[in-house]
Amino acid sequence: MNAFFRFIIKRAWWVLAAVFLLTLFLGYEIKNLRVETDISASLPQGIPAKRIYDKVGKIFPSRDFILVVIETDSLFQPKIIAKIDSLTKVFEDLPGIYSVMSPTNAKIITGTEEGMEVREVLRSVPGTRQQMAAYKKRLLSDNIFTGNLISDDQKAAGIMLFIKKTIRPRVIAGEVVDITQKEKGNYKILATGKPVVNYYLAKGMDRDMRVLFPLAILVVFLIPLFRFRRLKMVLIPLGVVIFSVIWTLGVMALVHSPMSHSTTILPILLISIGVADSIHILNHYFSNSRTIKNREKLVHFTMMELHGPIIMTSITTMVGFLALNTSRVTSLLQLGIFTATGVFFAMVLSLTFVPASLARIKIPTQLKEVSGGRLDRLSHVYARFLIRNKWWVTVAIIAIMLVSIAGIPRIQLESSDIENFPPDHPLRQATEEINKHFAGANYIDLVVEGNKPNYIKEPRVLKKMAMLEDSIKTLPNVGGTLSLVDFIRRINQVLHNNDPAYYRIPNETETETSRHFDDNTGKWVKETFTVPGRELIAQYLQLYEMSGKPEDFANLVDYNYQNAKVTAFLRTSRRTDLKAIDTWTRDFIHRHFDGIRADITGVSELYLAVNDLVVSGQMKSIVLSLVLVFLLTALMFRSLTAGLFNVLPLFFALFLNFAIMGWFGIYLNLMTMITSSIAIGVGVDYAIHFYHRYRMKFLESHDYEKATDRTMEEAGVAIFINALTVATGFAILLFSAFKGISLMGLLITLTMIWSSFGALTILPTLFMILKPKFNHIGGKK
Amino acid sequence: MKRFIVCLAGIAVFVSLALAQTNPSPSGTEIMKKVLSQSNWKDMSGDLIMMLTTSRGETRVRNMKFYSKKKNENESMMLIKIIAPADVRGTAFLTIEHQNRDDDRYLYLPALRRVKKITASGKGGNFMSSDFTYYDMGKPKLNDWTYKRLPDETVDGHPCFLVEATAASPKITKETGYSKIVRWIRKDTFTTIKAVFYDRDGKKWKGLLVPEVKKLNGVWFSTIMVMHDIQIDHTSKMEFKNLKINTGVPAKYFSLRYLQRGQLR
Repeated sequence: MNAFFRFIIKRAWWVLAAVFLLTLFLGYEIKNLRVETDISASLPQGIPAKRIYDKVGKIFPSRDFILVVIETDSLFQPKIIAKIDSLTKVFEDLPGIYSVMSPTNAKIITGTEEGMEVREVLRSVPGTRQQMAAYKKRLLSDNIFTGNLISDDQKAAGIMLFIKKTIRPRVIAGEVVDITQKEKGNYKILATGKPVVNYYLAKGMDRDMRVLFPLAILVVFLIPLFRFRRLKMVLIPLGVVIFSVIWTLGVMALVHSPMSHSTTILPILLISIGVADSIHILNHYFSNSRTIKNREKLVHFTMMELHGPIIMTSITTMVGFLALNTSRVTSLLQLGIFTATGVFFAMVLSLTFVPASLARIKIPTQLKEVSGGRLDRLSHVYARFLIRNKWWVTVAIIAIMLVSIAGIPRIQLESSDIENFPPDHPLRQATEEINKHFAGANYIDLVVEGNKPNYIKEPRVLKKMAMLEDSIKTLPNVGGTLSLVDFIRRINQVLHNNDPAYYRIPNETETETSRHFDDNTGKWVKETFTVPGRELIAQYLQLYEMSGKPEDFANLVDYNYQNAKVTAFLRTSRRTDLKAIDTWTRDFIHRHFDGIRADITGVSELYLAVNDLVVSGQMKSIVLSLVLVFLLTALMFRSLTAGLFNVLPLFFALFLNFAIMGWFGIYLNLMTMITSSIAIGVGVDYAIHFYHRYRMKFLESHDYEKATDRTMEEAGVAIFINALTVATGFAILLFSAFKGISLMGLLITLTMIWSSFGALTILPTLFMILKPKFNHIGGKK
Repeated sequence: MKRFIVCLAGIAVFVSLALAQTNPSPSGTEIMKKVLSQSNWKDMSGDLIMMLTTSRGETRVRNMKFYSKKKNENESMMLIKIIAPADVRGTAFLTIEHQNRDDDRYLYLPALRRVKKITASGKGGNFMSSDFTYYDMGKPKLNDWTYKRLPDETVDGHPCFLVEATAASPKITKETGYSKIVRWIRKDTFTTIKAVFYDRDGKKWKGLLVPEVKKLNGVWFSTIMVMHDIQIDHTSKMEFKNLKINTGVPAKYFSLRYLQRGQLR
């Protein structure tokens, strides 16, 4: 190391040039960085939910839909109908749209005197009152569409846009949102659905990047400036964080890893964490400058003094993030890997770029007291307080832990991609408004998988589908359903004189009446006969096809009638609600579908799967990172007790973190869970620093109380300032466009405070009470 | 004298060139007229195999028997009965074409033993949910379109006239769904070998290929037709087999009473 820093200082210009060149190269790569908002990309291949989703995606041409809603005082006026008609046509022409279902182009099945008519409901925009009344009657006569396309109060109409699988949903959602935002008139126009959520998610991520990143930079600029009052000096930590962020994003682009909702926070994480080491170096550089006047010697001495702790704390932080790898959620995995990569880069920069820059800068001439006299005095007061009240402090900490543990069962596992947006966000308002009046903007698909072509035409299969449809509709949060069943029932009714008793799936055997012409008597004779329901169904479909288009049913049943889909529209996107519907449906299939194979899928299912994975992975990664941190610190200090002491403040921070979530109703989900890993990875640094210095001071004096006082002044102040800087950096996340991220920012900020508090309070108190033996070996000075 | 002869020859060349300019081979309208005049049959019968293929490679095959008879020069009647698949076997479809109003279309459902009238979705409606419309199946009226001849092209080794037909009025576009049809017409048979159809907005919609034509009773018939919907990537193939012309298909085949009897079962 000695030679290494000598080399860095001697070849400072070379080092700086290398850093700049690498930054240019990797910075240029960032242009290839993709943004990924699709939740299915977060799921590993082996997961059943993902497998089914992909399989079903191959059967049906479209799976996602956008719901556009027009709200007005009265729907049935020529202007409004004309508007719906023209919008429908505009949407139909968008290249990414597979099909459009609207109150103007819907195909209505009506009974006629001699047969059946399947026809687009709107022939031309009604001009007269009679025409309007006739159109309204036609539209409302067919309940397949009215429930899903017309609100109960008839003040709002929905247009469903089914999206081609070949296009990125959020791209087409962007086009649709643009179209709807241009519309102005005596009506309101709203858009929602998963693709729109993804669109706004990408937009919000973009905004977060543009707003939060500069804010974080400002913070890491202002805090050192306030402390060191030297612009040149301040540029050094700034360089470390900016370069490490650029390098990390460049590497992400190089390995084709996209930015996701989780990885958007990566730059903020890196800035907050990466700045700590260089501030540390500057701190020591300044205090050493009082005694060492030679520039190169000063830098060399400072680096020799600090590289140990820098490497140690960087490794523990990396381990904390790498432990996220136990999660099988791709976006979390990437967050873990790339944050660890970024921390590594920051470490490399702190050991190369920082000394090289310092070697090229003149030692500032007039130096004020930098370690902060007021804080030093405060540290003595605090140390004295701990020494006097160690038992009370212990009692208080135990009490806090107990209250925390009581809060843990209150934690709710909940997330909602809609509620992640602030209440005044157009998407959230549109979705809430639409969920009030319509079947719902979310969906769950039940896919019946036949073992042979025409399986779906079997009455027993269709009857089960019908039963499911009718039952699932009674659940709260289920607003409507759509499947082939509705068409068969409707046709069956229409072909039996519109008798409502025939609004059902034909039985296995049906008795029908007809008449035939008797050639002998020359008269029509009535006849009654039985016929397999299977044939009726096949011929109903044939009849419909006679007036339909080739792919009218493509989204409901596959071409060979082997697999069919029942779509239930959901008015919720909350995890617990979705889970309830999922559980109910699985139970229903299990109890009633005897032998009929069925799977559940849909974006909602992916959402559930991601959440389940996060939860199951979370405990593992917490335990793993605690164990690794324990082992690492035990190894560093060559003592198992040392490992235990370093991990203890982490427990305090973790419990407090979960307690706050439990007591204040902050939901546990993908975003808030990351907090624990950050708490461990970053929080352990404070314990390490404190333990390291305390052992040193104890071995000097062999007095626990004296060591407490000395350590509090020498390391306590630095830890406090460090935690404050990191916490302030994370507090930037509070300004995120997403509730999930801003809550996460809050939790991390608090966690930084808890873990530094843990290190500064729990450790000295325990040392004074337990009086552990500190060994001499290991832990370089 | 010699000079005069050279001069005369020169004039002759000039005149013949000029004549060639003013009287080229047939105009677009003339070509289409010839194409349409070819259908001088009275009745037809045979087997029809229809295969529909989706973009995902799924297929549906229907085997049918069909009978057709002309009412007059421009209107005909058609009866189709489905042989396979089994669950719709015996289903029969009767169409009576009308020049000035919607066609009459009926479907006999053997499961109900009833004839059901299908309210026509216009000539632009899909024929048995294929990519062919009823309009594609029938005989177009010459004056519904204005024709423009484009430079000749060769398709599969056959020299062809290239004729662009544009809808004569918005009404025709609305009825047929087409704003423009470009046809490649074989010079030797005067049958369409290839066509491209444009939708109401003038965008490419469907492509037709005719890989097989047969001469029956001195008239060329397209016996295999493949229509590909470019916009939804869906293909329909119609193949006529055992085509018989003018065998005297009885007119009673095209009556409701005959249909109701289900005798075609």
